[in-house]
Amino acid sequence: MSPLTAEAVFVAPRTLPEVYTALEALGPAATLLSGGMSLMPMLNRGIGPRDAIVSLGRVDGLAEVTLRGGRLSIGATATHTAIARHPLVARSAGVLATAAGGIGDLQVRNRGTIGGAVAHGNAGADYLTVLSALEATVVIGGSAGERRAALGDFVLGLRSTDLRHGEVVTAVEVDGSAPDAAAFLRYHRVQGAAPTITAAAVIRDDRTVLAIGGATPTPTVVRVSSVEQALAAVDAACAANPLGDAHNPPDYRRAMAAVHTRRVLEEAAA
Amino acid sequence: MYIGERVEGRNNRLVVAGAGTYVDDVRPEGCLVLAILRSPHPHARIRRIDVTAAEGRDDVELVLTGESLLAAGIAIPPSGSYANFTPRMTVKHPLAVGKVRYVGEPVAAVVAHDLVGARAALDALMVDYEVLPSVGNALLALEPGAPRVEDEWPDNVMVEYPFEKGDPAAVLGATEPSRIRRGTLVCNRIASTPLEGRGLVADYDPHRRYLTCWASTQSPHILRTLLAGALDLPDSSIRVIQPNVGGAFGGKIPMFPEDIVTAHAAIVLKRPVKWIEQRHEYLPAGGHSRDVRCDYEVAFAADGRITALTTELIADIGAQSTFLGWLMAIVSAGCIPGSYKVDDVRVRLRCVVSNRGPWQAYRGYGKEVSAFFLERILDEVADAVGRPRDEVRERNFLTPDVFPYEQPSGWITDSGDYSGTLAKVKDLIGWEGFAARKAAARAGGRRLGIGIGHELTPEGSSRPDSLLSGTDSATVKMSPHGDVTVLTGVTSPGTGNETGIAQIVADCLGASLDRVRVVQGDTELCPHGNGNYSSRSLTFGGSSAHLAALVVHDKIRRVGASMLDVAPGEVRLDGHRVIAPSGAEVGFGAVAATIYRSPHARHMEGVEPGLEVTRTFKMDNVHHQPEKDGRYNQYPTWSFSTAACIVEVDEETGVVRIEKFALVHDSGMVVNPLLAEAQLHGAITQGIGASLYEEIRYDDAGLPQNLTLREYTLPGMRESVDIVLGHQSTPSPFTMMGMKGVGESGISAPAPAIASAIEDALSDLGVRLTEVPFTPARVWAAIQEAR
Ligand SMILES: Cc1cc2nc3c(=O)[nH]c(=O)nc-3n(C[C@H](O)[C@H](O)[C@H](O)COP(=O)(O)OP(=O)(O)OC[C@H]3O[C@@H](n4cnc5c(N)ncnc54)[C@H](O)[C@@H]3O)c2cc1C
Repeated sequence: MSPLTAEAVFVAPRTLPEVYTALEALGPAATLLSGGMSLMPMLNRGIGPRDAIVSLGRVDGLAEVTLRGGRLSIGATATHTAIARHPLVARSAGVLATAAGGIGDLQVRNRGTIGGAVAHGNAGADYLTVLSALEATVVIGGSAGERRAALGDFVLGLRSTDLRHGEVVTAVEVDGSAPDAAAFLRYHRVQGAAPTITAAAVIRDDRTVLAIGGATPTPTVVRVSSVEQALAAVDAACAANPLGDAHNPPDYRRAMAAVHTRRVLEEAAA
Repeated sequence: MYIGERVEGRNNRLVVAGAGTYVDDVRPEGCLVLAILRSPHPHARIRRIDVTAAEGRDDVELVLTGESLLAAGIAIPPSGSYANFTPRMTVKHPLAVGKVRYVGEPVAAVVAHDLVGARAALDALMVDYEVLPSVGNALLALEPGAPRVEDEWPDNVMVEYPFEKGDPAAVLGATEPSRIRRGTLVCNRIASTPLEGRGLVADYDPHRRYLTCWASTQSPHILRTLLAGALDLPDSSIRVIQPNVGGAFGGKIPMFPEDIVTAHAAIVLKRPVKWIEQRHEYLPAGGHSRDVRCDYEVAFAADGRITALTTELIADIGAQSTFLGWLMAIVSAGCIPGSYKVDDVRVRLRCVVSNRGPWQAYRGYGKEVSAFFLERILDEVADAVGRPRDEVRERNFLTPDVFPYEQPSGWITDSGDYSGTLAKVKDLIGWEGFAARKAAARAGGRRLGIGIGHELTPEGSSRPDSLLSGTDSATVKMSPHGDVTVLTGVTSPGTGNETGIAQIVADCLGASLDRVRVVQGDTELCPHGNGNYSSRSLTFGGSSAHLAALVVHDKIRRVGASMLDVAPGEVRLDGHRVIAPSGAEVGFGAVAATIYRSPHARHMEGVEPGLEVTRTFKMDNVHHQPEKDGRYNQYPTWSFSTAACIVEVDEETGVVRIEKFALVHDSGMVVNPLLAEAQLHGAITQGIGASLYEEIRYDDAGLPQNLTLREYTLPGMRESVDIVLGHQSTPSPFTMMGMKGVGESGISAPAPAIASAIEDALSDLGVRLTEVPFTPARVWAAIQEAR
């Protein structure tokens, strides 16, 4: 079913400044559309405003992947498929390519974008977990200029971010030098279903960062000193901020967070 | 001979090419779109519906509510009678009147120029609800003083169906406690979830007073009669056409509230109106199945022979609508103890209404519930006496010499050789020698387990005093060029059953298969039939076509023999020709031409003109007159299968992976093994889905927890399993050529086989699985409990 009402406005600017202008002109009713893979199912079910859509799809250059000044920058509208296949991503952040290649199914990967996934902020989303372990920075644009935020500060809660009205996620940045070792695991029920648990571990010099998604409203991120310490930290986070539903209740997710903590650290160390 | 051949399904290429015409592809000129406003509440009184804003929209042609349908005289009174029990019934309203009783219940309908307008009009409808206390499941609904789903009923029990054989209480009383087990088993709710949703396009011609409906239905004739009753039209004023159907699985047996509303709207507006179901409408309100709980008590001898069995079944059939799914619970009860010989049995079924969605038929039709309960009990008894699970089944199976066998429910099982399928499947799976494999895997840190599950699948349901009474007429006709058309009352939900019917007719006539066309799914073209349900397309539809073809055969033989100048008894019909002993022959084309062109000439002396014959096959072993012969049987054929599987269990996560799945089925004589196997592959995959992945959940208030396919996790290609099939044929003594139905076979055995295999993989922990599906969370919890 088409989500749009007969009176709906749809704009697809070619530049970011035009996007900002459109967002301002349309006010709080405006909805940003990127790949639509999270947005469209919600609009179809009547969730959220749907009278004014501002599409990022035609903004020139917003899907670019670059390596500059030691930072890998991935444009907001780069699709999951593009990221999974991009040589720069493979070289600098192989786990990110692995995570992108396992999202949903091919149709979703061909449409869905990294900016959309980050802005959507869903618990357990592959990108949030892997980008947390990669200690990524979110680049946010708006008519007032550009700002940067650490991913952990940007994602505030379950599907809630620090994005203010009129702002757009324009890119995501990670360290451009490949880590010494890294691993990514996703645990999901069936092909195409959202993951129950995602786990990522990134080792750089003597520093190991672990991220577990799906057991808490936002990824649980741990600087790892030992497996036992990581397990204790993840378990404490799950106990403090449990997440779950009828199909995968909180106690189960908490146990799976522990299992995947161990497994992903083992895999990264292997 | 074509029967027994692996002939490719006639619809395969059309389906793969995407060339089918489905109901949403039917687009009459000026077609309007209907959309349904559904209840967001499990239970609420409707204080007021304000339609002004919706009606005020330019693109809205009609707004309907429960009250406006009532004013138009539309309400569905109870009908039909049942042999062994009397259900409480109510008048059904296609749009809620007074109150809503489940999330997704249709409340109002709008008809607009397009979907966008219809959607906007739904948003403009204002319903003032008074939310009522609700009962989110049957156990809550059974509590004293529970809110009542139907205001006029004294409680929430719709059906009470007990039956007994022997004296189980006495046997249980005389059995020492160590030989008794008690427990509770649960089959949770699922939904058939066909690729194509439900839908209907209705077009009314006021001048001819004639309503044409294109419906994604399984039963055009039945839908016609039910619609005629609901709309107070003559049957002859309605034509129902079934376009291609993208899967049904029982889920499209008529009639749905939306069918009535859409047809009524088309009549009121005198314009075509279309309703196409959305997935988020289907999941809560398109009809579910299973959701049965069983409290049992079983007594057994030292060798594992069951001496007494009592089962208390509570079926949560949800709130009632025009759907007829609740009858599945009767079949669950009636199939206990099924394939097993237990002389002292008591079964008590209660169908309980709740504020969940209604049931709708789904492949398995209740038999999968009894199979799960029985097989779980058999496994428990085997463990209790310390004997192998296969041996305990052997010990309890009905033996081939007892048939026809009257079940405690009174139903009569036609034939069977249950040990046969068990022995064969053990060979296929590698039963002997598995213990060594398991031990080796365990030593390597992996947990493998093996399990078996047996199913009994009565088919050809013929209910007394109902439109699903089990008959399907067929017309066989030959044209002046000798081409054959078969018109049949059975329909195809996409399975290709027309191929099997063509094979039967071609063999009977001696015709070439490529000159036999089968036409289905149109009430004005096809003779009356029940359509597609209960695996009866060939046992009923094929047999009727065979009877009609015999008459055509006889006429071709007589006229052809006369043309060859030999006696009718001397010729044979083969390859679309009549052949004399001398080798002289005449083609069917020439014979048919003679019959049509020269009906008054020499070869037609004493022969009735015409080459069009309609016949209706009657099953000999359906019994509907207990007052006369003391027998009541609604199932003429009883297919069965035994499954075995090897699983690997991840004990840390509870994730189960099926390594190998084998099933040996027996559905008597098989007309087309390729199509039968295709049916089995589909059924087994659905059975695996229902065992590991699919579950419709509600909270205690009756709020559904699966609004999208994100939560209703259907298995896909990644989850598909390489299935190994084996065959056995124990013909039915009652049907034509010994055929039995095959459409549902294979859906029941996976759950108990997988449960059995998971328990085996965790045997050192003593894990018991009592609730299907075995989701990772559930398996994990069972492991924690056992530890
Ligand atoms: C069948 C299916 C399976 C899926 N499986 C997975 C999975 O396994 N793992 C997973 O992580 N995800 C999964 N997803 C979600 C998918 O990854 C989405 O692509 C992603 O979450 C959103 O990206 P999008 O470009 O489609 O964003 P959209 O759907 O267009 O937008 C999502 C939200 O973000 C906002 N938004 C979009 N772009 C921006 C931006 N640049 N700046 C600010 N706000 C923005 C929108 O307004 C909207 O609120 C699945 C989706 C589907 C339909």
